[in-house]
Amino acid sequence: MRSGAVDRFAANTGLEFTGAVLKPGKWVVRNATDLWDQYIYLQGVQKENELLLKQVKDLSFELADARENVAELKRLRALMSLSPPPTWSRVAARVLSYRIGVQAELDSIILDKGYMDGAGKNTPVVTHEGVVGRIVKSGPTTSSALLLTDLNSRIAVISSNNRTRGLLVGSGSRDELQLKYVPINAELEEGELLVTSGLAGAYPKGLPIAKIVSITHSDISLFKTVKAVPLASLSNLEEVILLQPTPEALEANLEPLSGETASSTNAEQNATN
Amino acid sequence: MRKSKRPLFKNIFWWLGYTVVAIWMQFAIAGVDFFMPAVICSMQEENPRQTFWLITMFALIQEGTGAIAFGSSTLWYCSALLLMYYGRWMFDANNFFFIVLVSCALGVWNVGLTLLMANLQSFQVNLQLLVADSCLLAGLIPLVWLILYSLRQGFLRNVNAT
Repeated sequence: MRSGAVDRFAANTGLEFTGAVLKPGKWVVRNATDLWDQYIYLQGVQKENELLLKQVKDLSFELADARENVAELKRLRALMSLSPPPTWSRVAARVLSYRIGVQAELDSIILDKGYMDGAGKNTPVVTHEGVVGRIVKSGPTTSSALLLTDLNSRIAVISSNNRTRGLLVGSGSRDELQLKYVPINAELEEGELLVTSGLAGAYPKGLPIAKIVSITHSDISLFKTVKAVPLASLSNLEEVILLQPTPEALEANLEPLSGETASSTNAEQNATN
Repeated sequence: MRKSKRPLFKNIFWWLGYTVVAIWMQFAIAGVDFFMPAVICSMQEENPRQTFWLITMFALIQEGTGAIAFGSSTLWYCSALLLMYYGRWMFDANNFFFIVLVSCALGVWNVGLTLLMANLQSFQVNLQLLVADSCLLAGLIPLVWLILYSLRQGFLRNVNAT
């Protein structure tokens, strides 16, 4: 049991069977919804099209600016002899279900990708809005991921403007997170974005994860009390992206900082063991 | 003469069908064990082999879909077995009010078992959610059992008649 063999057996049988039961039904629902949305319910499509065309124009200008910035960044990196951040490949996955059954007391989701698709244990799960969580259990074609709002989730983050580090901890509620271990004199602003620090090696650096909503100071604590909200809408997830490290990324992760790795691994073990 | 295996296969397909429906019901209502009424029904039929295979399948499904380490589902179903086994000494096992009592006891035990496993496996549990899930579980088990029991009786009559 301590080797995790029984857990793997349960994931390979029970989780797979549940996935096999849910997948056809979800496929039917998805196709029926698509049929309704794309061929029957066409009200407002003309208006939406105009709006999207306008957005495309605006985004084209922004893309041109971003290209310039990327080129500049490359030049500066070359000047400073910095290696580029390790690249991570992406695999799309569909959410089959939120927590299911009497055992699902942890806030988790079930995905339609398993270790055969590269969704192994600890694979980061994100959306275009931000980080969602990471995979804790994986069968051949189905996996289970712990959401970042679960009480057992711990993610090392850094604030985007002031570069203040902290540990983002779930509160059990889908719309509240706590940033812990931020020193009382550290600079931090309300509304500031929190991004993954990348130091623990579990997540790539710089993924947007949450926004700070309140900062309070306590007279008896050495740390600030910081509350944040997740950027990804976790209550209505349908599709997510799984990030898989490329060989370069794996090499870069071989020497993570010990402190953060310990806390992250511990939290992950707490969630799975 | 060799005994026909048709009723056995019918029975297997019946339980497989119920398992699929139960998974979808668990998908719709999170935190509730829709397999438990099946275990209770199977015990009432006094078919130990069937109960054993059902518990094995249900425990694997619950353990596989749950995010915590292996063990709690096995304990969960074993404790339900003990509860039913000893409860039958005092009450009529097919009585609805006995099932209500069993489901209330299971609701309380769900809180206790999850907190015990949380301590043993060092993870934190949202207590408010756990209590809400357990109340829902205690309320739904007798209702699902009532439907399942009548369906099962109809199936068994049909199989015995053929």
